[in-house]
Amino acid sequence: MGRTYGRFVAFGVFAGLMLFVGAGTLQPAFGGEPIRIGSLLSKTGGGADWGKKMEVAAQIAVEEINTKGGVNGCKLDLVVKDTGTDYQRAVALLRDLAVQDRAQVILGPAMSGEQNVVFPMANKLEIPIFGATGAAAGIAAKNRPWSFKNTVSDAKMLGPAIEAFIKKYKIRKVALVQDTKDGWSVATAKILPAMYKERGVEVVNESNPISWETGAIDFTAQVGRLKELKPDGLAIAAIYGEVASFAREMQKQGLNLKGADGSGIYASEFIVQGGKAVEGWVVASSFWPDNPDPKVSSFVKKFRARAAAVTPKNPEPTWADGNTYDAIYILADVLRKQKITGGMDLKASRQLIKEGLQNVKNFPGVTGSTSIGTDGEGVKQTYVLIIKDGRFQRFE
Amino acid sequence: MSPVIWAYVGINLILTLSLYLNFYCGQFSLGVAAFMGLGAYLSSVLTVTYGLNLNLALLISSAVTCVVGVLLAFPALRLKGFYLAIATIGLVEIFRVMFKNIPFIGGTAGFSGMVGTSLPLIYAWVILTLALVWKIEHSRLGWAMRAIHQDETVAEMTGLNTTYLKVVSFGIGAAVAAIGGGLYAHYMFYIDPDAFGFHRSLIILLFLVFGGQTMWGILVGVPILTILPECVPQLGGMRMVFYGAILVLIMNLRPQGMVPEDLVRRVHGRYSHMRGTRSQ
Amino acid sequence: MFLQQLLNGLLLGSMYSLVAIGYSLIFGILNLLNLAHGEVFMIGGFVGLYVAVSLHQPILVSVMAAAAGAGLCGLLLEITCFRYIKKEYPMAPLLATVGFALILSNLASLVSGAEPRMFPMEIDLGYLQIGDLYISNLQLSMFVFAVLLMVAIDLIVKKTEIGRFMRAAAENVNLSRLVGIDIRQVTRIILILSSALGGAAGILVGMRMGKVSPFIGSTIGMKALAVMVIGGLTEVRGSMFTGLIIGVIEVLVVAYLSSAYVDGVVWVLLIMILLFRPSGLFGSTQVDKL
Repeated sequence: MGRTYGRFVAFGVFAGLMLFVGAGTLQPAFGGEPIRIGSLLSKTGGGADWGKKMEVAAQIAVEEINTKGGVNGCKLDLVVKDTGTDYQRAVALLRDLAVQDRAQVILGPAMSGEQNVVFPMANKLEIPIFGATGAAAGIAAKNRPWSFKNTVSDAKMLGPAIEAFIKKYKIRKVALVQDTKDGWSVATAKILPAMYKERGVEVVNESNPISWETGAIDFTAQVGRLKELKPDGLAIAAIYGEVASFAREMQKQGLNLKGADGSGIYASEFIVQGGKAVEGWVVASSFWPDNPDPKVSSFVKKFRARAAAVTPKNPEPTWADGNTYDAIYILADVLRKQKITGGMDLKASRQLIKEGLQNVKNFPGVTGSTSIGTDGEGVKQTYVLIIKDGRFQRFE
Repeated sequence: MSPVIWAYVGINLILTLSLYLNFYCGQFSLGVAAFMGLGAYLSSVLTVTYGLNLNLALLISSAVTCVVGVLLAFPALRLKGFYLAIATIGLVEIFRVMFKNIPFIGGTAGFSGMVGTSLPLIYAWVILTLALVWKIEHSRLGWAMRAIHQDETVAEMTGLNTTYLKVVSFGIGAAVAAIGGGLYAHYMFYIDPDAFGFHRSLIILLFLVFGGQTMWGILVGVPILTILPECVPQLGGMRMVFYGAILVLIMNLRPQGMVPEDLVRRVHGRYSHMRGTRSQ
Repeated sequence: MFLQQLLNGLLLGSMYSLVAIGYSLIFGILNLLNLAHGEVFMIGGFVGLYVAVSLHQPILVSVMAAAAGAGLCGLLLEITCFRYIKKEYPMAPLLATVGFALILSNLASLVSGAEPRMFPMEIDLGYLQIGDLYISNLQLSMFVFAVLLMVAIDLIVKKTEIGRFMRAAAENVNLSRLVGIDIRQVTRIILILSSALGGAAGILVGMRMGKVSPFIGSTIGMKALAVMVIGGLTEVRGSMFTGLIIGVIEVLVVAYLSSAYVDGVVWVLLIMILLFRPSGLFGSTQVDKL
């Protein structure tokens, strides 16, 4: 390529880039003065399926509320930004939402990793942030007073699930299995042995858990070790992708063990990826999608219909989606009680919202009754679910 | 444009300068992510657990990382080119595994609680670093490093102590990376080992090569590449595809980078004739 | 039990070997580093999955389809990253392949979703049981496939005309050009061949793991790169055996130590090899090319 020609092409590319820059920074105009809820969701990248579905859940809630007249006469405006499952981006987008878009409150982000970085920043910016997902404990508590979550830590949820599990499969010995890389798994694995031992179950490998790292692809070694330990069941704290593969490997090697776990495996993908190998597994959850309560069934129906267009391979709502739906309703309730309107002074409205969130008590939603504790973390009721016939069903 | 992006630009500038220092001396070391991580963790522990002033913590962690860099430089002397590159990638991964297994700094759960950076502070350090690198380039040290880069055997024959020079470039590069890491940690308020894997080194290499491996190149290339993914939010999922396509395109059209060596020289040449240290 | 773990390790290692062989072909002969190799492997997995599950084809056809799809990617790679970039800028093709990898993995994620896609359990080939040892037929066939491949490539390189051209190019590119060898053609063939190989590995590994994920390319890719270097850059045989060795070591570390260190193992080995035996475990001493 001739020198000059090359330079022209390079310039052309550069100019094209600048055009994109210009186009990208154009802000759409907003009519009226709606109440602005900023939302950080991972719609692309590794957490894409979660983010996309949570957006659907939030949109359903916002539309329902707006159809009924909004809050205090103002419409709710949900501004969603895609973090790309990249927490550096998440931080940048938080700034955008808080400063440029003048959001009054933030919903999200979806993944614990992102929350770890975004919550402290929101705290610094003095904007209330409300996380509907992320099972890692204590993130809100560490970032008071502006951080809130309506998820409940697994320590409280697992108890009933473990009891049901022990009773159903007559467990006397369990093997401890965990993910050593994921924060939630590590924290949960620390409390599991005590929870089993106080119910009279022996943990055969407490000092030497069978383990892997998130993203591990080979489980032959771990299953081999498991065979030697000969437990009746698994005390497991890990994430659905790897647990599903682990379960399949067990099945391949002729081992038929079940486990009880918390939100790490409560994802419809767990059943999709685990297939028959995860039949009979017990899960602690704050959401029971087949709940006959009309509020729940109506949400689930609407969700399935819309999710089918967005994540066709994965349209079933899970606790993340239920929580997001409830989070919007909780926020709307707080907004109503605190008499927030769209044109209100930003600082004042954020302060009022923060105070409102601190006082959420027994809010009825599709995930049961939710309160927010003094540490900012959620307090909810638990459902014990079991995987039967390829679905999460209530444990009888 | 959000101020956050500019903070990232500043931090990336420092990190890329660290890489630049190594490449300047002909050492294709990709260990910048490891030293960044070391600096990040050290400075964070100093401010959070021991309550030190941020700038002091940055200086201390930078000094310690420099020493680590110097120690690692000696085995690295044996390796050249591609081998050094891949060995340093291995180093980065090993550091990452180490960070994950030290409970004192949080292990996989990460470390948080840092506060204290602001945009002006970051750019103050950027300017300091730029000044440092400029000074080196225009000193005997820099001239000697370039000689090694051009042809190591000849450099040795002319009496340069190549060992000393290579170790020095490694150490200073490590120190600079540590500053970048410390600023990163105190801006993000949270770090975990995965932020410092080989992907990080690869991205910084990208900045350097895209820029053209010159100081001006870095000043032009880093902002462009850092800001680029944020400019096109309407592309949604295609954002990274677009980024990848731009990369492929630019590497084909302008493989020498935005502001390569000969461009700098030609521009210099137009404004002055005799330049002592740049005569070739 | 130890024997079972040893076996597990060999079978895991054959997966690394298959991918590493692709790297060593490209680097050994062309002196080019292709950082998109892991993503090509991933594309092979997806193509194979589609053919096997949606088109209900038998496994052999799926493997060939995977190889073909990946080979096509290899050709695209050659055009976009290697054909037009002048050789004076060694970093440029490298970073172009990084860009290409980004495109591939994000396109795959857009088309298929971010979550991995499963191979239905019925596609598994069953188990062989010798005494106390379980050997998956699938893993066995992967192992056999890798061995056959190594032999085949060895034959191609030593006995065919194109193989002679490849060896000539590896020795001295300029001289080869002088004697009339079309380096462009050789480059193209090698890229297509090694990508096809990677693609076949992709579907076999996908079947073994039960799933393919858009983001698996870089994990496997980097490790396989390390395997190639440990084995001795230019030696295809080196990649083969080193892959097996690394697999065994990793499995033993997980079984008897802890999985927390597993990621670091291959890199520690890499550094040790580079310091003490830079030509690699199986390499002969050769002139440094970069």
